[in-house]
Amino acid sequence: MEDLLIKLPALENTRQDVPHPQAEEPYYLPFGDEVSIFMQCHRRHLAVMLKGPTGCGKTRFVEHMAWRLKRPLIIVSCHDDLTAADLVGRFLIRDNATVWQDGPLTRAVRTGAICYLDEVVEARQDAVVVIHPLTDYRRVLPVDKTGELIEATPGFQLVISYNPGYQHVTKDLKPSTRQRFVALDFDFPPPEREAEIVIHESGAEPVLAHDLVALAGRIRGLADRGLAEVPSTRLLVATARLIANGIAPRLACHVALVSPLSDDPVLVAAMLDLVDATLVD
Amino acid sequence: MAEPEGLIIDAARQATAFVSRLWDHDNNVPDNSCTLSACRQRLEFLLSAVHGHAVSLRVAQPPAPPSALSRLFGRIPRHLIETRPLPANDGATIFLPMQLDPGEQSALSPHHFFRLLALQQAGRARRREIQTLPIDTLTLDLFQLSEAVAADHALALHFAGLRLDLAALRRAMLSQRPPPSLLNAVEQAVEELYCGVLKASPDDIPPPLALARKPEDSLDWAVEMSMKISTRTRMPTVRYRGCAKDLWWGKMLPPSSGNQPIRYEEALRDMMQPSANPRRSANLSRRPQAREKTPDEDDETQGMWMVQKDDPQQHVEDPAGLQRPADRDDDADAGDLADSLSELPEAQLISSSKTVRELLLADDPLDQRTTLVLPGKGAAHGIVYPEWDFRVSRYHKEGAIVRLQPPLLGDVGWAESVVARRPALLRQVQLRLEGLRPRRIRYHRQPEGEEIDINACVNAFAERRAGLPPQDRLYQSVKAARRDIAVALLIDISGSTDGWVSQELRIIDVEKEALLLVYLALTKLGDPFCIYAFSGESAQNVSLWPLKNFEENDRILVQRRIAALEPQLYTRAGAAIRHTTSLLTATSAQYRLLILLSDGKPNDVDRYEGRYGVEDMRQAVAEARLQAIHPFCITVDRHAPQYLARVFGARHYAVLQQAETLPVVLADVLRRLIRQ
Ligand SMILES: Nc1ncnc2c1ncn2[C@@H]1O[C@H](COP(=O)(O)OP(=O)(O)O)[C@@H](O)[C@H]1O
Ligand SMILES: [Mg+2]
Repeated sequence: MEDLLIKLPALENTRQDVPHPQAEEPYYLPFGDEVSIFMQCHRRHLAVMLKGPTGCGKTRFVEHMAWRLKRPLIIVSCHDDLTAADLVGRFLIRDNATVWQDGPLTRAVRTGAICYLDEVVEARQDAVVVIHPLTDYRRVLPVDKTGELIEATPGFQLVISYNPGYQHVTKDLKPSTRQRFVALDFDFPPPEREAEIVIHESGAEPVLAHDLVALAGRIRGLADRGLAEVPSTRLLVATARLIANGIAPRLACHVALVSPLSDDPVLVAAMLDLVDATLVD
Repeated sequence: MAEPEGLIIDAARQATAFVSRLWDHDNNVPDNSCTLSACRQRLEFLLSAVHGHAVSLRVAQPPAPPSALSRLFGRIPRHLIETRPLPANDGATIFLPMQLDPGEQSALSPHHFFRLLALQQAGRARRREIQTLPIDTLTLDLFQLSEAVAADHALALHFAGLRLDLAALRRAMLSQRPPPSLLNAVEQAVEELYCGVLKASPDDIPPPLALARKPEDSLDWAVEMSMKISTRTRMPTVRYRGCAKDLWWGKMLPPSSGNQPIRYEEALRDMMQPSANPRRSANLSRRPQAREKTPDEDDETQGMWMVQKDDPQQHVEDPAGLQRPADRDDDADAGDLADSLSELPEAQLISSSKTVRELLLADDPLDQRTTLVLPGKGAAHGIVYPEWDFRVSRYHKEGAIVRLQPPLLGDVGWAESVVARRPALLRQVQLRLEGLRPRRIRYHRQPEGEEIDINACVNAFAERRAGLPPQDRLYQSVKAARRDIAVALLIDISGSTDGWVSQELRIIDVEKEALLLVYLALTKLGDPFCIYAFSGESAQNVSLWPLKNFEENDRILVQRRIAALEPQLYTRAGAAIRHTTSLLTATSAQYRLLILLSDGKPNDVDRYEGRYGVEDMRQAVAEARLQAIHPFCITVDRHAPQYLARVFGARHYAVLQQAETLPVVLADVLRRLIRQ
């Protein structure tokens, strides 16, 4: 999965090819109609916005859909220094000459890939604006620096993700941006499914997976009592992997589930109580 | 010569007063190893995680001392006299003893002990839905036993990690049972059942008990069982006096009743008639349980056991709440009354709009809001502010009156002692604000500017040669490091700041210390700032204490004013914010900051509560924004995110996880806001 990721800034990224999804199906357990809706959006050239907390399977979903649709996938993790040039491309000097280097978005547009902008609110406003002409009927990407107007290849699709739980004062998607997307709401799966995912991803015993999921459900209840981050499915999978590899359950929960969530000693203590009460070594 | 009845009452009174003093003495023995207060918050978090909603945890009241009368006549056998507070629940709130006996601590670590008791009580509280309980003691006890066993069973089932603790608790309780020789036949039958439970493993239900899925099942079983026991032991001849209750068995308190409606008009009317009598206050060593009144108790004809009118000592001898002695005598000492009231197991709650004559302060707050109204303080001239009524979406023109109160002066040495105690903290606060002095700064590597940044250009050239992407930040410029600012600090000193955040510190103490440290650091910054404390009671009396005006500069004076801050009454935040806003708009700064330091939701004696208060506060904040003021709120209320985001907007408030970090957080917030 690692090779799907293109790290930014695209420094030594001289490859002009785009990674294709691997032959093996990325495991994804759907919670509703998201798969068929996404297929429809793809067919109708609609951009998709995935809303939901971190670690609930958004990235995995996109990987899975790319595999189904047999499209290459380009993932860009947005950060607060991400500029339009990082997405579109820039001139480089090579052998005493300047060479234009496509950014990941431009590459996706040219090759008809699915371009996934993860945590898009993090990016600077000017960067977000460059996707506008791609999301309406024009489906074009104007490249100012070269004067090019690139028309998107049919398979191209834009997907962004966005975590409504985080509070941003300056950072929020502008309404003009939001309105360009079909929004799919993601959340943590219901207990049965979450346990199934944990079992599949970690190879843990079913009893343990259910205990972990019950534990996570209880900790998530603390969200409105001051716990800023709640345990995600990803965290559960990580914990279950540790346990499956022989770490004692309580210890694994301490280090992989509770400690990453908070530094508040009282909250941590309460969560450890919960771990103690729920699991036996 | 007193009548015989009078004599007996007198003896009883002397005895109980003695016992209660003994008790006070016992309670004051300092033992900070592991008390409930040390782990209370942690347990509250645990309970809300387990039950999915906030469950509040209180200190269980010590039992009322048995009256000498009942002991005199031998009505309560020795093994049935409660000697310590027991864990209990009223269906919503959990009560736990403040500390454990040394003997109990050997079985389980104190924290595990509290954790288990809290979970047990919460589990039992959750099952409570039956309104009508059996009245005869035997059936009631059997019912409680069956319910407790069912709750334990569920606990053992869902929390495998607790099974060992549960077993240890049962073992510890088993070792403390009274000898059978003290019990009569019926009591022995119950004792046998109970010991059977204590001997069993927690995920087992020892027969003849059966797993009660619903409380109704317990009730059925209890009725049936009590009949069996009665017939077997020929009950009418042998009276069941009870079963010795311990930490496992606990107590089932009557369900908490909802809030009583408040008569607003009545309160207003009363407010207009100032009373000349100052209030007296005293501490209650325990708060009597509020009890529903029975239909016939407000009888005009007084029973013969009333306190004699010529009694020089004031005592509440009257658990039925017929009359309070102090209602007759204005000079009575509130302390004596407090002592007497503490000895009552329960007292009827009377709502009165009249000014109370004495305040008896219990350690734990009353659940319901009392309709206690202070007489208007006519002395200070008020400034009238409008108040937003969300129900009709408009302002009440004469909404609230702000009265500026002359600040009191506190101990001169307090400020020095705080600085001496917290040098590291002061240093941290100063460090945070140090870089913010207004001055001109040269900014390097700017995308645009007046001059070329040679360094950046050289770097960029070299990088380009190396094939790295080009840099476009090649300029430098000189700008003022920041704008002129004016800061107003508004401190909530409502009664709730009397709450304890740690063993020694109340919220107000933390606020005061933070205020002092930030005050000292701000004076170094040189920008104008003011500090106001606010509280008050009712719309007519929103009190503001100017601790420091924008102009004022007398350090000693300001320090002494901060030192004198003490928790006051309520939080009518809207009016206080509006007044501070008007002060800020009068300054000439480019950037105006209003920082509110609060410990909870706005509230007041009248409608200013819940949604009403929050909406008015929100409106006041919005008004401030319209006047180019930047409001920010720092709170120690962990429930805050739910309403503060609405009032101040996301990112315009901070919730303190630990009150002790307040000064540093305050400095951080200032730094962030000033830097922006
Ligand atoms: N519906 C799901 N199907 C399969 N795996 C899932 C699902 N939801 C979460 N996961 C697991 O959680 C991990 C984190 O999910 P990810 O897609 O990275 O989260 P997000 O992109 O929402 O932050 C995945 O690696 C996978 O193991
Ligand atoms: Mg992700």
